[in-house]
Amino acid sequence: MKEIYEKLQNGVITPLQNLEEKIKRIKEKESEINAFITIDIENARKRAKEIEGKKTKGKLYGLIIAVKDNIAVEGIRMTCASKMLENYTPPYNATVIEKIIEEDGIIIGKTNMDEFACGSDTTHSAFKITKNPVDLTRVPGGSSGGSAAAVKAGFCDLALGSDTGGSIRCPASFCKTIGFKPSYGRVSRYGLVDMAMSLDQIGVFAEDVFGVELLFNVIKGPDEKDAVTKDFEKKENKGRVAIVKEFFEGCDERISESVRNKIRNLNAEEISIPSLKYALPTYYLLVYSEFASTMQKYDGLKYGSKGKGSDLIEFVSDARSENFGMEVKRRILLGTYITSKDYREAWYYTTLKARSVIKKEIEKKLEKYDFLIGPTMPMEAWKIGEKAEPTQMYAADILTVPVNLAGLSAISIPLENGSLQIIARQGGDENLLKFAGKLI
Amino acid sequence: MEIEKQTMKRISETARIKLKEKEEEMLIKDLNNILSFFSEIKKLDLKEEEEYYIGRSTSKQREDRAENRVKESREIIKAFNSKEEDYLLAPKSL
Repeated sequence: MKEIYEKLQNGVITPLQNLEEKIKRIKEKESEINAFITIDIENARKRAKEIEGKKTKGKLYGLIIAVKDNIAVEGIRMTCASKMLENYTPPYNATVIEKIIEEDGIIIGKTNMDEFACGSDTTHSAFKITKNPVDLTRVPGGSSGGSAAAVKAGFCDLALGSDTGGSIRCPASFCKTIGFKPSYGRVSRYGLVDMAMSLDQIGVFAEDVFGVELLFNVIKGPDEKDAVTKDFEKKENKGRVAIVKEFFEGCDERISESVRNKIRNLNAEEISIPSLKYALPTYYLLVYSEFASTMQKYDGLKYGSKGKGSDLIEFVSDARSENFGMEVKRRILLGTYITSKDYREAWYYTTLKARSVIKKEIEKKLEKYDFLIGPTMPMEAWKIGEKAEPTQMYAADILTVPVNLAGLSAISIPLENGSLQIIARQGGDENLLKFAGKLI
Repeated sequence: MEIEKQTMKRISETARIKLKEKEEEMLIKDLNNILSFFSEIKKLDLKEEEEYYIGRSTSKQREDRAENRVKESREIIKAFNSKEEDYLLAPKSL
């Protein structure tokens, strides 16, 4: 990735040459990988010609970028991998897209995902199943599976994804590439179709840390259109590292060993964060609650597919029943249940309190240590169709969800077996990337 | 069982999701399995703990002024399903 960047900046290759190289690969391999929902070759070519020969080259000059299909790009269909939005084309750009265009990046298309980001393997798309470029019989992880696969297959130089509980780090781990989830509040989510707004974050895929840093530095920063974004105070990095005992419980032994080998020379202390055992239920119960609420806007009127029936309630119910997939329905129904008057005390409020406990406990550890380390996923990519029960899929997220509950930054780096996850405090993104770059 | 048929009917009505008989049976099973999988959270003693809301500590307000975020405002209604001239059509609500 760094090599391509330098060649473009030095004029050794042109944006169009870079693009044609990517198009060639897409033509060769996309039919078996299915990384994209929409590919926009025509506009990408137009854009490559437009920026060619510019005197002042932007930071992303001529780089080819794939975008998860829940981030709005003006004029390109955005489906969220759902029949509900099959024909929806946003009339505006997400803030991150505006920034990419400003820096001369070229958008190649929109990538496949689990419907409305509900899933961890990209098999829950209404349109297609993305295959893992490393092993076509396996899932690419999810929910940003299309973006990870596109980077790994060489269809693009960089890709954007979103991460609510691991949706960038899981596919990065399964596809053996690098995935970075910035801190909550570092990157504007204006133009992102939210899944759970208190947890969602837009982030980056690349084949090297250089590429991750490059794109992150372009998209980061406060935006008044996303009220939780702000500048963070810079904290000194003393390089104090801890490995978290609970992250290795139930993890594939070969992966644990690879992680421990990789950090052998770091003098990491082993620590325990007991409340992590409640992270998975806390995360999922929160997601259901926020998801059920945000999904109310899909009524079959404003955008997307319409319902049948002359009565409003009948019409809306029909549109939602016919156009949502099973995992989306499950989550909406669960969220409706646990936030309903009779049950919210026992479920929803308990969850909000549990989040407080987990967040405080992790933050306390991050006062003493700069980085917490463990595996990203407790297993390698599973075979397509292997995890049929929802709870089997949920359980795989156990190591990634704590980061979102506490609003932290984290990166996944591939190892011989599995991947290494490095976690840093909220706002510590730059230190994290510097540290990761040195470790590789 | 946490969710019985009657409760399922109520929540699916509230969520505006119509369920076919078979779908309903399957979802009752799924939802109960999931809630029992996550039920350990109820064992926590959290009486003294405060609920965590994202907005309280982090959100800031901006000035209330109109902004043109879309180049062509008519583009917004393009996504609307049923139109007649300048009117947007919706089914009867009363």
